[in-house]
Amino acid sequence: MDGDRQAAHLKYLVEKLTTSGKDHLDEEKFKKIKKICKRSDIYIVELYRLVTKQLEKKHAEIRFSAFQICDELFRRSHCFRELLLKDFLQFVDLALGLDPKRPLPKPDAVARKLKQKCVEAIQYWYDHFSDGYLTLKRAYNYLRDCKKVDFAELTARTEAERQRAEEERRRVEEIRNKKIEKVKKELEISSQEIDACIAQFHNCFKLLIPDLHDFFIPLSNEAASPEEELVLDNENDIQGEDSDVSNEELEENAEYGSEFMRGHGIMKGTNVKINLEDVRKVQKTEDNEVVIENLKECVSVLKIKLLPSVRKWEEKIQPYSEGNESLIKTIIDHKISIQNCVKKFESLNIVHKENQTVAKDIDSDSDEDDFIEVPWDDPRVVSAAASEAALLGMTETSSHHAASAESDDPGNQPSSSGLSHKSSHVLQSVGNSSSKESEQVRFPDEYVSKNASTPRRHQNPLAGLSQVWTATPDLHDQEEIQSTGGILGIATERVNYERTWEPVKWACRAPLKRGRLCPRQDRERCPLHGPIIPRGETGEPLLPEDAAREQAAREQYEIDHPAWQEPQLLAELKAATGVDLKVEKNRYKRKRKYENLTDLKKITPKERLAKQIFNPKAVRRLNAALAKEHKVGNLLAARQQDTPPGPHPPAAHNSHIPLDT
Amino acid sequence: METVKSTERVRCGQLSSQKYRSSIRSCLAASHVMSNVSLDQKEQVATSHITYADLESVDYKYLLCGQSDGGLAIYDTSVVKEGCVYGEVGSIKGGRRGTHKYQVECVQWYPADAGLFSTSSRDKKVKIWDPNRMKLVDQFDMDCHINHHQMSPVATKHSILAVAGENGEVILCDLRTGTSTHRLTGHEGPVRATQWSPRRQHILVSSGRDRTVRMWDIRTSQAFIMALDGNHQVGENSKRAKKMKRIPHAHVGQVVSFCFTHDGLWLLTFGHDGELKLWNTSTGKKMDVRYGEMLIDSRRNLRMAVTPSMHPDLVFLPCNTKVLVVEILTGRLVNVLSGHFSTVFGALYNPSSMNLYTFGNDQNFITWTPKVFESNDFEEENWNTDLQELPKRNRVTQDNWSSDEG
Repeated sequence: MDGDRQAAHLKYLVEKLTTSGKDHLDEEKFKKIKKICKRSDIYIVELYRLVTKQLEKKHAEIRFSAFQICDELFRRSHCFRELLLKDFLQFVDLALGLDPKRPLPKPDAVARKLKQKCVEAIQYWYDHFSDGYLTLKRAYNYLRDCKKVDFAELTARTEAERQRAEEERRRVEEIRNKKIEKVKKELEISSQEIDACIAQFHNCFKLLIPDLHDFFIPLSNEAASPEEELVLDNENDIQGEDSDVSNEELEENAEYGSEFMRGHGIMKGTNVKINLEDVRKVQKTEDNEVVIENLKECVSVLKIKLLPSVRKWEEKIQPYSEGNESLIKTIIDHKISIQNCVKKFESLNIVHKENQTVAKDIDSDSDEDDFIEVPWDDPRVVSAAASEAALLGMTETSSHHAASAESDDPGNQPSSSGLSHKSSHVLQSVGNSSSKESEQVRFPDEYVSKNASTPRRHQNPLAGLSQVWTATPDLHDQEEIQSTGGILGIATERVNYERTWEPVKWACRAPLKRGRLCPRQDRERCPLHGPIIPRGETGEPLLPEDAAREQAAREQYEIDHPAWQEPQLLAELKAATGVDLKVEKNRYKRKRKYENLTDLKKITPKERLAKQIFNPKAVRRLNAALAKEHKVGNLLAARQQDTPPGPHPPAAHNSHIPLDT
Repeated sequence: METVKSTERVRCGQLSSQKYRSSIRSCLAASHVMSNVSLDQKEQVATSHITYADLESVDYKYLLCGQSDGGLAIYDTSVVKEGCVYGEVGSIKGGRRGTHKYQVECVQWYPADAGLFSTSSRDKKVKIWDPNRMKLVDQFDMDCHINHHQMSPVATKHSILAVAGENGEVILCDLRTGTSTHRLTGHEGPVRATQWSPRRQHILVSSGRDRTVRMWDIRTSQAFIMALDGNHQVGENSKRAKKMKRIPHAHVGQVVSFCFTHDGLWLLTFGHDGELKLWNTSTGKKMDVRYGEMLIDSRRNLRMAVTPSMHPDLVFLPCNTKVLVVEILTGRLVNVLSGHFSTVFGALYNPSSMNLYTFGNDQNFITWTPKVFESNDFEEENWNTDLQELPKRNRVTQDNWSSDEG
């Protein structure tokens, strides 16, 4: 009787231990097992039976735990050793999975661990018990010689796996070498180009803004700098060129009352304001135009062509960092120098000189086609003129113009007619302060809140101004405004989506349990009681079809939730009788037996996506699309080859995209 | 228990002492257990394993082994070195000049003495060796692969080697002249094995992949004397078969092993279908002995061993990873020897030491020894005593529960 109980307990313990899904055996439970087993060999036989049963389960975690029990007992009990060695081959099959037809079950990570541990354990057993057990000795030899279990490295791999791994390794090595070679070659080819480009850039830059160190030599000679306009009257500015040099330093140098200060007539307590932003401002003049152009070209080459390629190399070489440090270093050096150049250029603020346009005007007098004949009626001209006038405070003329434009073609409202809205009084009232006006019009909320409900096209008369170089002091530059205002008018178009909100005037009014009516006010559908239907005083539906539907729904509910399933009643019943009569809602969804184990059937997000992506239909679609693109790409490439090289860089670029992807 | 009864009967005169001895032997043969005696393994990791073995039949002393790399080795089974290995008498490694190119398919001692042995392989050669010098003496070149070969154990008037060829012929090679005398044709498909009758020196039995087992008389020019008929088709089918002059099949599957009993009266065949059959060699009738189903996956030639002149004769039948010990005439399964981890290729019985040798695909060579009782535990009659004989082993095999697990 006691034996039976012990056996049952053993069974319970084994099941609990093997389905824990943990890495290690639960100490306490395992101790209990050992306690039982120590009593008699009968229990060991029973345990062996149980454990082998668990070992056969197709779940790596169960097997792993079962194997651990086996290992522990093998080290202790002679009887267990005898039993296990009798079926040793089977045990090895289950724990090592050497048979390619019966590999270890999932999850793979645990299976790998099981294999590893098993090899270790067999080695241990062999070391300690092989003298006493012939079978163990032979099995060890067999595993070593025939199954090629490498006990030295404690790995159990089949011959095929070994070969595959070796091949894979070789392949990866080859790819790696190829990649490195390729990158090296590319680097060799383009490193000269990079160096040349960078040198060119630096030279150009030096011409524009001389280096700090060059500057100190002609300290007092301000004329040395080409941009004397923006350089203020002292050297501080030049100091500020490099942001790391601070003003304090200078102040230390130039104490009050020193020769320098006195020479400049600076009194004590005089604050000299230095505009650091202006330091890198370069005014574009005829003299330095070529240099600037050259600089721009250099930067664009560096930025568009060389920097991405350097980045690509870096990315490529990143995984193979060991053994190629020098290569990586060169690449990174290149990258940094290019980035520095680009940064340097971006910090530069190139300013167009005003008279440049004038000069251009004179230059381009000969070729007339630069200027398009603009009729005076053109709305763009009108609007530009209007905005201009508004800025200048010539409100009357502007409004006049606007009105005339409107009357001319009301149906064909030009998109650029900035002053088309009728409330021109706004404009008039604030005519003198153009900035205020512009603010008013720009502010959207204010605009919406106005009673103007019809969607209107609107153009900010000042929009053109934002286009102008901010530093340009002259806002009245005719050409500038004329050319930008029209384009901007097309770009900004405002559509009003405003609608009036009507409050809901009805309620759901479905009868509630407490006798009241549902007070929810929804437009079409109550989230609790469905579509809102006309109801009588007590909440019953007025229309017969509605009533029928409601009745049907109620019946369905009754079937689904019988009256005796009421939670309160059930609770009372349970308290009284101890029987839980609750019917499970999801009868089909069975609870998993062992929650601790990894669910093998569970679909991981990766698998789910893979199923979508690799489903044959999608693959076919993708292939078709790729083939098509490829064809187009080839066509473009062919056309590119036909035409003389050079003039169509975008086309060439396009043709490469599908090929690359 | 059996032995005690037998002793009692001998005392009463019911049992002749001859019979008693053989029955005791049989009992012992049925009680084989694994022993730790094995072959000498020089290398840590064996490069070759035994594919075929033969024990010389004069004083059952020398064991000849053919190896998978074409090498050969002779061991003296009467000398056990260091308690666990047989002394090696001579060996020739595979790959050396004169050895077989491929694995050795079959080896056989010259039946009359241990001064000659023959080997064959799939490299189309049968080689004759001198074991004393481990030198090649002669070789026959065949025009086909060789599956098996045998010399008659009782021949006095001829010394013919019967070679089972892959091309469906049994080629007879005369050792005296050094040429092949004639060929027995008739098998469709390769011949798997040949066996000379241990009773009549001119009778030869061959089995082929065509599932037939044929008996030949080498003196006649007849095709064959008879073919064993497994009688699978009954009724109208057999009639049709006769009309088609079809040679009856002995088994459903091909015959993987067959063997005469020691007295030559019976023939045992073992088919790939897992059936063991007993035939009367004089009539060719199948005896009605039920051996029960055995499972087998290998199609390779297996070597089964029979015990000579025991009261209930036993056969050691390699069957997958196990060796079954079966009483020949009753079909009773006496013992199952399991110790190999892969297919057992063959079993050899040593009548003098009563040991059984088995070798298999798992590269193990196992010697099975009969259980010998020491005088003091003879009374116990406990057949299932444990292996704990040696004190050293005893130490290892003890339970070692640590004290905190109480």
